[in-house]
Amino acid sequence: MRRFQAVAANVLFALNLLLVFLLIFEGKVTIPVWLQPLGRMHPMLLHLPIGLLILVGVLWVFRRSFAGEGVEQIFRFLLLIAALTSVMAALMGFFLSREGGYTDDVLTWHKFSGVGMSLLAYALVLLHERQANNTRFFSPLLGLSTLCLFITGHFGASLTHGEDYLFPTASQPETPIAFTDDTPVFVSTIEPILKANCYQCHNEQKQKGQLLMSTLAGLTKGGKNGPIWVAGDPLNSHLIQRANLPLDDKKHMPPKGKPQLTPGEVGLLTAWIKAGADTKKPLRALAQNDPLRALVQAHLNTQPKTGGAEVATYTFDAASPETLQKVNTPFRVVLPLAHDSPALQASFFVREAYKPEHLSELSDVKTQLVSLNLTNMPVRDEDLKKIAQFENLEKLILNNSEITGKTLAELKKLAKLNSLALSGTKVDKSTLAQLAQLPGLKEVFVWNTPLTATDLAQLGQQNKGLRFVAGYVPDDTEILKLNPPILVNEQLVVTAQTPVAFRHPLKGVTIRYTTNGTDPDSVKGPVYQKPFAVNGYTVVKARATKDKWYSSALVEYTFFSGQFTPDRAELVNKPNAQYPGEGGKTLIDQKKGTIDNAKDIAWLGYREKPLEAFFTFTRPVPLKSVTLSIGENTGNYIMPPTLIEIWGGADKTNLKLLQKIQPTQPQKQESGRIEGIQVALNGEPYKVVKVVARPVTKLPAWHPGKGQPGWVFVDEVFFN
Amino acid sequence: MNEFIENRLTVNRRHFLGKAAAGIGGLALGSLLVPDLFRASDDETDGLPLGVAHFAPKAKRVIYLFQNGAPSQYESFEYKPMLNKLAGQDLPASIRNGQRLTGMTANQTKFPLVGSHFQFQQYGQSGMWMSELFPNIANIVDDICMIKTMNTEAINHDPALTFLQTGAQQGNRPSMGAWVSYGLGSDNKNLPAFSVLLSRGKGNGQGVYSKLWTNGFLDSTHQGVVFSSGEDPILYLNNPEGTDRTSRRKMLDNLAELNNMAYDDFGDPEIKAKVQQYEMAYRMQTAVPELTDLSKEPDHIVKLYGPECLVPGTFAANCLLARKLSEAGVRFVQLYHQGWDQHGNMVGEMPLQAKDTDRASAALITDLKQRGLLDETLVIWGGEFGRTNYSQGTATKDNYGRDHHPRAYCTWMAGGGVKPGTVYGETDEFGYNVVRDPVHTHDFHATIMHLMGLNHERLTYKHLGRRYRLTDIAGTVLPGLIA
Repeated sequence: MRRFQAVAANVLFALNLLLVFLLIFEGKVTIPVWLQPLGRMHPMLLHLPIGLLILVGVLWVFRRSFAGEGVEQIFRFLLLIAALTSVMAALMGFFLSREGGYTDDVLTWHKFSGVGMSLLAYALVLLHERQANNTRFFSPLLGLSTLCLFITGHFGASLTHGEDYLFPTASQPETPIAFTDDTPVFVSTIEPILKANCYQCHNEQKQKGQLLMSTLAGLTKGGKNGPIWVAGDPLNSHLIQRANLPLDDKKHMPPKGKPQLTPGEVGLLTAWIKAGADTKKPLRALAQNDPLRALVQAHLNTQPKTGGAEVATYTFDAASPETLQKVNTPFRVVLPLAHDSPALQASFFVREAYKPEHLSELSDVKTQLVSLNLTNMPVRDEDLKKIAQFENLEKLILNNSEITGKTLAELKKLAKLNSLALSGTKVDKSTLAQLAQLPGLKEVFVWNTPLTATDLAQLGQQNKGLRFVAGYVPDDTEILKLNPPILVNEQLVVTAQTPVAFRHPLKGVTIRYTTNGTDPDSVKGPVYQKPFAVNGYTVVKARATKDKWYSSALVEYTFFSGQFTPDRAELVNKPNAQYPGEGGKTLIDQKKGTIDNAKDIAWLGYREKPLEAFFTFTRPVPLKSVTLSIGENTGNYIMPPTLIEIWGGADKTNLKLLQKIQPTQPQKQESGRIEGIQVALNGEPYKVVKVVARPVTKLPAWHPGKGQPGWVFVDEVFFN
Repeated sequence: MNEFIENRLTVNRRHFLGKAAAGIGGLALGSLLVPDLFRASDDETDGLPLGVAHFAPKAKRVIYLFQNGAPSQYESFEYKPMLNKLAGQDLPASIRNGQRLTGMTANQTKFPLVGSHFQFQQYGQSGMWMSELFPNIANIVDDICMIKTMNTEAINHDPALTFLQTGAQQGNRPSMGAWVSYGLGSDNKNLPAFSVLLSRGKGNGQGVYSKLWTNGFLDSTHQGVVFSSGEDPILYLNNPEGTDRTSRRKMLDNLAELNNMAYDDFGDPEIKAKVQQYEMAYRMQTAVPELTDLSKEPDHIVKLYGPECLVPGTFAANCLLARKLSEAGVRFVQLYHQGWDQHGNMVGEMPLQAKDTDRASAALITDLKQRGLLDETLVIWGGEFGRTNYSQGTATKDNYGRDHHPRAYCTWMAGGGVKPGTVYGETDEFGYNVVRDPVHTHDFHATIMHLMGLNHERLTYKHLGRRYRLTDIAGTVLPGLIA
């Protein structure tokens, strides 16, 4: 026992020393993370010294009622334990305080009284050891310790439970003020800045420098150095001068160590004083180009909203998680408005899955439901009765439902319903008249209903304070341009199975087209009725027209078709290594290239050497024409061939020249396109055909690459 | 030893945890309602559950009409007559103030100011200035909040796009839509919570890549789903030929039975997930056709959005589809319209781009409004940065181009709790620098998250040892934008 007491006394001394040390060097101390749990045990441990010290006090008072040596020893032991737990609780409390988040003032009181408590307890131990029976000092010291204990305890409780826990004050919750343009600038902007930065030392209780800033009278009166501002003259106003002094200057305000005004706030105060320090002038009265106006607006834009009137608070109880889980299905989603809100919102999805009883099943959450979205659901008139049980409903969406409005009066029980969407339903003027019975209704959405403009005007007349939103009404005088017809074909090679087909997504559109190169318009050109075939190579131009619409832009497509497909195609000359395509079959694979992508394997490219290819048919075919599909892109040196020769015969060695043509060459830079060059023949049958297409050897003088060889690009050859 | 028997003997950690989770039945089912309920604890979102708003939201859904390539503010929403007055003069060095340039104009010796070729006029109650190229948006100015002072840190398309979409320039972070999906979960369980629609304009274009709608390190269920621009927005949804819906149902039921047997044997939670996915695909078979069905739309919807809205893959068609998706509870619909990169030929291309987008963008606002949905849907319209007030190359009488400008550009928002009919922020007379109320990309994100009921500082995900958020380590909610 003696040994324990000796050790305990030393520990007590060391811990108290540490405590005082930590307190003095508080600003320089960082608490390591592993000590945090120790700090958090403070609320647990602190009850030990409270109990023990009170027990010590009680034992002391009744010390004469006990007899024997043991009492003295127990008393001494208890005192030692009480002092030990006190210093430990104080240390833990210190660690905990470093985590932050506590009210500064209360924390300071609690901290100092707690440390005092620990030191007092230590003093009691020392005193008791030296002069065990000296009641003259021990009694008052014990009394003081007990007092200190209560003070520490009180502040500690204030920290955890809040300052008005013990004596709740019936304080009014601060009603947020919504600022408008009519609020004086002083109230909306200046006062809050002063409140946040100055009131702490210049209020009714505490008036440093005899200056009271929390009332208008005090502000205008000023302090011991006179008024704090001179209207219109910020540079000679104490308020601004003090704020602009260096931070280390004794006269700088707010004093060093206190929260400081931001440069923006100083700027605002300066501008306001310069503008006359008017405490009544609202924002509206400031000129548009007044710098104060801009500053005030900018300041208000960065301040958190105070006028949060629209955030509704709900007093009903939240639904249980089990209930919520029960009412949720993939087609009916019921979610809380926010995680701490009892209010629920429900939405229905997938028309096919909807059943009227799904609505009744929501009765489990009928109190909590504030928003219900039934867009596109086949809700019928009789279902409104079920909706009427959701007593706190604020918003109801019934767009595209099947209601006619007959039973809208059912909703009159919904006192909080303020928004009702009925767009796309069959409601009319007579059924909507019932809306007058809905007490809280503010807006109704009635777009795409049978209502006419006159109906709406009358309804508006009858229901003042109720806003009818009619939405978009097409303006018949506004004429729009149609979009062009859409080509259905995916390929520009036309076969018997895939004739040329157009469509237009808009109802009632007429498509006119031509195949002879002329431009169709709203009267000229055949009307497109059904898909049509083309022969060889055809340019189809088409346009969409419709009454009360401007005709669409012209679309132009070049189609190719081949009646006879050769078995084989062999190249005599290899194409340029950069554009090899897939060899001979490139020309008969029915795959067309695009002009933007010469590297596409649909193309064969030739430069310097001519394209020369044999096409072999299984049996002789009567040929009326051969069409070469060529690319033309002057910018990329791709030109039409200078010469095309068609040879025909029974076999490769026995061919005669059937036709040769010299296609016209472009005379200037032209944009890229794909073109068909048709060579007419006399219709005699041939088994083998040879096609030769020569590239330009020297580009013409107008071309940037004049004198250089040009390219020939061919993606397909068609036989008819 | 028989591997199957061996497998049954070794209950490994994963199976044990999986079984344990299933054992706590009620809790596990609770996670259906709040998809990431259990993940929340190890991500330490400070005790805020996932799948539900942190506080009452103003906007329940977002439709982001992203104008890819950076539309010029000077030809659209930023009226700067000073530029017309000073046309041809060099941009003063005091205004440029050390702004870095792109490689495209870095070698230019002169920076000749150039004013808008197009006329401006004031519109609406709010008196907002609008160029003649956007007559339909001009009609709805009183519904929109025009931000004049958006600014970003990047000066080239890819980093700027990535920054605006993911909050970081380098990529691989989750996109805004993925964060929203992660934070709020899906409303309609039959459609993806984050949907992406692409369209191409007629002007000079810049690419879009899947990294812009990536889930990053978040669960892949939060990834943006790109809808096809063809007739079928979602491919492979139809039953194979010869299979009707009843036999499909039967097949799925039997398959689920087999899967559940496997689950009883192995206890791998992935098996359960698979069953869920089959079920969702089955439900999508009915949910998606409703999306593409225009029979509930009146004929004049075509006049509202413009006739292009019937041509799949156009911006107008995507706007209409976006409205239908949003109406069907899709949290985040992201459109990208390409072709806004007018380095040259501003006069030729800008009207075409405007024509593609003006009518349908305004129509979307009108359409949401007339259905009572605008107040809960946030619509955003804007690009990744702005364009310079000087010409790239020489400005002729008839044409000019503009390079990239990150310091100030315009973006507008509508609905979803933003202040309607307002202009936010102000630039100098050259339109080059922000004078008042800058909106940095991080602030923009923070504000959007706030409108969605999410605290951008507390929606985090722990990855590679640190907690990430959309706004990285910055971002301030701007109350001036909020109604």
